[in-house]
Amino acid sequence: MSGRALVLGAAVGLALAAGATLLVLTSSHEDNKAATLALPAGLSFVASGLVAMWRRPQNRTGLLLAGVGYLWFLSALAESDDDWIFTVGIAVNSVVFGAFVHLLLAFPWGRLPGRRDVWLVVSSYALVLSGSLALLLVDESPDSGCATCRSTIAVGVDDTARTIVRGVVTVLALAFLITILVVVARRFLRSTGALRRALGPVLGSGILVMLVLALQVVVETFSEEAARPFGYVFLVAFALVPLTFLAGVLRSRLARAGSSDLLLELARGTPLRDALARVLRDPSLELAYWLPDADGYVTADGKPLPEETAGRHMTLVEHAGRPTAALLHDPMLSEERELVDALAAASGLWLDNERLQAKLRAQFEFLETTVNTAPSLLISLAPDGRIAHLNAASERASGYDDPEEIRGQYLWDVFISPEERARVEEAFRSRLAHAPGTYENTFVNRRGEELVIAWSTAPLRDQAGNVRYVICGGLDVTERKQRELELARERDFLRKVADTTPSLLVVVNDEAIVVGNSVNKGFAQTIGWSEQEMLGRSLLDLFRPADTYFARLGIASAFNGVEPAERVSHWRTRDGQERAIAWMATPIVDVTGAELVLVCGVDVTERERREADLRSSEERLRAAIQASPVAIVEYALDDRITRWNPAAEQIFGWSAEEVVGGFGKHQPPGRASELRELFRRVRAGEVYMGIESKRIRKDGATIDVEISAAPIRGAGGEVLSHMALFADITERKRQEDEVRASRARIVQAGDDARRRLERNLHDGAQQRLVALSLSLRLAQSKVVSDPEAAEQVLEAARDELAAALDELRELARGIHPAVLTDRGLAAAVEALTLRSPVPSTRGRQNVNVRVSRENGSALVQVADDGVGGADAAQGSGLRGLADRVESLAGTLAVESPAGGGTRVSAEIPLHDPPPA
Amino acid sequence: MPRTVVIVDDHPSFRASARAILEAEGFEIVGEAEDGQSGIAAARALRPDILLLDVQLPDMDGFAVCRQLDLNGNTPAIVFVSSRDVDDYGGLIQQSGACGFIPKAELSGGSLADLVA
Repeated sequence: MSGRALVLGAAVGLALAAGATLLVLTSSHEDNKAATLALPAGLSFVASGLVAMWRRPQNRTGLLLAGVGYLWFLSALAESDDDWIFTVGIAVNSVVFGAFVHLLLAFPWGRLPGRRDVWLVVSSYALVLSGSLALLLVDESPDSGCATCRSTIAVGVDDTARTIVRGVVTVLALAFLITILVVVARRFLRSTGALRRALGPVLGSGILVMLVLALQVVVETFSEEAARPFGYVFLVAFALVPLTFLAGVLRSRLARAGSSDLLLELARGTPLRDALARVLRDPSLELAYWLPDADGYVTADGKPLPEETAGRHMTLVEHAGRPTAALLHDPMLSEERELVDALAAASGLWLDNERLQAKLRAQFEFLETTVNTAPSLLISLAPDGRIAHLNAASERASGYDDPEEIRGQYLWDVFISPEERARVEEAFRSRLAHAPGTYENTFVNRRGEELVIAWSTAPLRDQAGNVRYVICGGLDVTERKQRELELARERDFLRKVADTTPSLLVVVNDEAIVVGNSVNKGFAQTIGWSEQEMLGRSLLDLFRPADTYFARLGIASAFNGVEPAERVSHWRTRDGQERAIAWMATPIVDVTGAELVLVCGVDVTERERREADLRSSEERLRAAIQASPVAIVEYALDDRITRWNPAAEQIFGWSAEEVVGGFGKHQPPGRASELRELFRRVRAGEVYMGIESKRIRKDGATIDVEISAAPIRGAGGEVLSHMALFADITERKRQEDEVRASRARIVQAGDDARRRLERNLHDGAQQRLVALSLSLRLAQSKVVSDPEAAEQVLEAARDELAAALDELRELARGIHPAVLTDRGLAAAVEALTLRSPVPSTRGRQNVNVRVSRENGSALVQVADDGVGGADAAQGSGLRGLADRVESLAGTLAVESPAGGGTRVSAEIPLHDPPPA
Repeated sequence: MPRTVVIVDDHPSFRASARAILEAEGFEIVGEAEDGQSGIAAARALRPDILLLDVQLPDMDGFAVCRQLDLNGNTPAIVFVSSRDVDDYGGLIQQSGACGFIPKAELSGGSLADLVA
């Protein structure tokens, strides 16, 4: 504010003061005592306001203070005797309080901080004005101290209305006062630090003033007399108020001297931030430095400014146009621009210094973090090899618990194995110290762990080129070495596996060229080409020309990620053979990451051969079954027929189409349980042969069959089906029956012959001999007494005997004619024909007998020219003859056409006589 | 007293021989039969003292004749004869109630008299 304005303001103030004094003195109704007390209050306000405006031009507090002062003097118009002026004075009197409230709420910035405050102030102005106007309207003599003073705008109202209006106004005023009190109190309680300190006295005095006023108003309604002392107190308090305002506004003036204090503090060694805080009386003050690299503010300990700056103001400090620093401080200090600037200038260099320090520390922090978190060992050595510094990784690797023990020791004593130490020391002294180098070493650290470190060193020279430090970097390659070892072992293992497997393995690229390290022993053994010989050759060369297309396709598909499928191809071996290989191509990736194809194959030549053999043997079996004269029927486990060979068709009559797939029609009814039992037995694994049974043919006839059956087993030994073989034995059975019957007949004939013989003996010769015996006895008994009779008896006995002999002879001939033995077949036949009777009743006249030997057989032919009609089957004689001929393996033929004679011929095979 | 005999046998030569030898010994042959039925008839009709009975007869065997005659009561003394051995007949001779058995070849008056005595 310019000096001239201030002087003018002062002049106006004085003028108003003078005017007010004059009014007071000339007033007929005013008590001089009170008036005199009122004056200083006004002067106090005006003076304080002017001072504030001079020292703090931006702060409107000053203006408000002065304003309150002017209004105060103007309210002296109420002292005038003139009613109009009086009325105006009363009205202005109230406005003073509105202005005062304004002043109070705007403190300390001179501006109302929020809308609410604005409304409060506006309503307070409105209230006081309307209140006083209301009072003026209703009350003719509003001032109790002046009975004669009249309100010019008063309207005539009755007492009740007046009382009501007064009451309402009073209540409103009270309410209003209380509201202001509450707002002010809250503001005080909510503020902290410097603001509180500033607000304290002001608000305190303000509150006090308002309380007093409130009391006065209250008491006044009861007793005007009693209220008077309150008025005096009010005036005193009111006069003091501006002083507190002034003090609050100018408070920093007292601290202005603090800039020299600051320098003193800094010199004493107090850190800048603390010194500033002390001088500005803001313990929460924080300093931040501008870092161009970081493009932001960083606190003294290198950390960036926190985002939260709630409740604090930031004042930027610039130096020569560039941002230097920032102060985070209490909002109150924003008023103290000059102070801050002065302090900033005073501490400019200090700030600069601290900024640089912050920068350096940030860089150092970064480096330190890098060095300490690096997994590599980082050691700085003095030029003689002693350890100066080492990072966390080095400390760990050393195995020492206390890193301090390491510092000062020689590098090789701590980190190099004993046997290498001398060499390393020598190398260091001669070479390493002067040129970068690398070296790998295995050592056992303090803790007993074995580590492998790959060292590299580089010298650090100063400006003169001398080596100041040697920086030693070490990479812990223990794990790597371990892994390398594991990998090598794995490779060896896989190599062994590849070489032991009988399968053949070969690795090719997408052109089917065999790539290195890529053919196993199995391949070499099967195909004959070794690794070296195969390298670089196309695998397709080994394939039969017809198969190369599919080989190419297989390999290409593998490259394209198609599911590998097994193929069987023929590969040529080194010695020109062809072998069947079942192979498959799968994509693989080698150690370099190249995409290749692994071809894996198995030699299936033997398998193919066996399969071919199996097929051909199956064919033979099938042919055998088809050609077999024996019916072969195969039954599945569900009893259905699955095979019916041509012999079965012939024996049973049904064709294969009629039977296969269905159930057997050839099984006779009534034998179901027998069949079930047979099926069960064969399915249980039994093989049976030669069981005789009966079956039916398609034409309904029953035939005799001989059955053999066996189960057919699968690979696991389980029964899959069974086969039954049927041989038609009807003819054989018939022949057997025939032979049996023939034998029976022969035996019977033999029995009959013997019976006849016995009978003949009994009835014939035996009787004669008996008679002979009796005759002899008779003769004996008579020989003495009657010799002639005896002689007759003996004669008769001789006849008897002769006859007996004849009979015996005859018998013997019947058994076995002696003539046959004595004179041979021809003579015997002749003798027989002479003896044989030829009954004439049959009409046989001539009989021709011929016995000859032809083709190794005896041929006997007897023919007559009788009536014929003989039937071998009917006549037992002829049948018995046939039996006897057949028992000699001969044949008898009888031809006896009716009326055509009878011819009987027998052909009997002759055997060579056994060797004697 | 001469005993009367009927000879039942299917062999005429034996009948003749037997007659001759028994008559020589004092027996009287009152009848002959050549089979069982005629033998039974003759035995009933002629009521001989002794019946010389062949076991082997054409129509029935001697035992059957014996049984038939048994039923009638008043049987003659039956003596079985046969050209077969006595062992062939086992216990049948005893069971039949006959007096005994003489092999044909050993027939004589003496052997017969011994049995019927």
